[in-house]
Amino acid sequence: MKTEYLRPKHMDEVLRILQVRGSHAHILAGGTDLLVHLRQASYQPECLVDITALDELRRIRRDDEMVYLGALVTHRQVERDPRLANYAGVLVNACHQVGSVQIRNYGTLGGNLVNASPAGDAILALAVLDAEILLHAAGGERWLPLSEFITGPGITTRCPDELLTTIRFQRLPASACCFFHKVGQRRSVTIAKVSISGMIFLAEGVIQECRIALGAVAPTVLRLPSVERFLCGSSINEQVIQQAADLAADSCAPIDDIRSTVEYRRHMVRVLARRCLQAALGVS
Amino acid sequence: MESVCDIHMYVNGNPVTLQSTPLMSLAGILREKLGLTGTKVGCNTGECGACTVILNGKAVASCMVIAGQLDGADVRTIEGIGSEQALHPLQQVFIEEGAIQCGYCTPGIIMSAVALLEETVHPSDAQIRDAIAGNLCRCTGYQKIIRAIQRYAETR
Repeated sequence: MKTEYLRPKHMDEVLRILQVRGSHAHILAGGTDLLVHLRQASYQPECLVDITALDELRRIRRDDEMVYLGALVTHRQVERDPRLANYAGVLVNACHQVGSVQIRNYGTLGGNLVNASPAGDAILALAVLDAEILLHAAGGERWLPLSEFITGPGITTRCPDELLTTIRFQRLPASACCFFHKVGQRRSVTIAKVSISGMIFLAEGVIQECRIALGAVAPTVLRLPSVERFLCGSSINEQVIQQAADLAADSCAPIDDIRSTVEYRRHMVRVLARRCLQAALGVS
Repeated sequence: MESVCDIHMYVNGNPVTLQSTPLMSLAGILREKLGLTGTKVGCNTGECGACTVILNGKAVASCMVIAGQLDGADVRTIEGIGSEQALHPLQQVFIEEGAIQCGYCTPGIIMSAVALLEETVHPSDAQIRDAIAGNLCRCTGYQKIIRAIQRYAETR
């Protein structure tokens, strides 16, 4: 059976198609994940809905508080946006470390989210940013926190008639210390074996706000509420850092897989948590 | 019967009109429909960079761009950079620096370098490495490639 390929020019056309054909259709954006899967599986989907004509989804918008990324915004657009570096540094950093220039020029954030890899770099940063995503259907739209959108490896709560159109998050305070660190087989074009990202907001040596998340060590990207609770209100010192790092290592659920082992991942969580918190100490 | 899409695009500055099945890759179109075999296919998954071209001003893996997305596109390939009779100075420097062995990665690397140099006149070593990180070379070990790009950039 040959694939029916559709490339609607307008959002409402896409939503109408998904309403009728959604459960048998794949949505194509940059294709840097989907085309690889289709070719490797030699799988011909019944229907491919190419959304790349929807230019309105390519925009980065902002107001005084929030940032809005269209689903077709590429990793490269984020990486090179000078203003995002000021208030969403973790995401800029994460996007820079995805793949290669060629992949970043074509691969989209929306596609990356729907792909829902537990090791996803942009997903990790968006978890730190407490991002929400907007799902559009012919019948209406809904905002979901990222944690309710991605529920397992490659699993999202998107219904077949829904299109992910927008990602939004609140700007981080300018003085927040941000970190994003990814360990891979090599420095580029590599999926994370383990990754960490976070934001610490210090005032007079005391942690006012803290967000930490881990990648590739659980079925989904993992925020660490126990570590965050432990750190909030603490002065940042060596002992606190060590305890936080140990807590982070105990909070994750890594597995052995093609890329790495339980032992190495847990060890690196401890190491990376220490390094990142020490960097925050250095800045304070 | 399989569907077919009409494509009107520019390749190396020349208007091109053709038809294709929508899922054929740009790499396939360049090589098989236009006879422009300078663009190579390595992995066909967007990771090796051998198929790199400049699409609408950006370096992309042409194996990951499908025909359905090409209407109105501006595509530049290695054939538009230089020819046997008239090498681009960057290509000349690659030869002088010994930055080519088997040559399979070279068109893709040149395209990545051109894309970089069009944005950054004097890239740093780190910027060069970042720009070619998606171009795998099994022969040279990359040092001479980086030196060639650096040397060319210095002459500008």
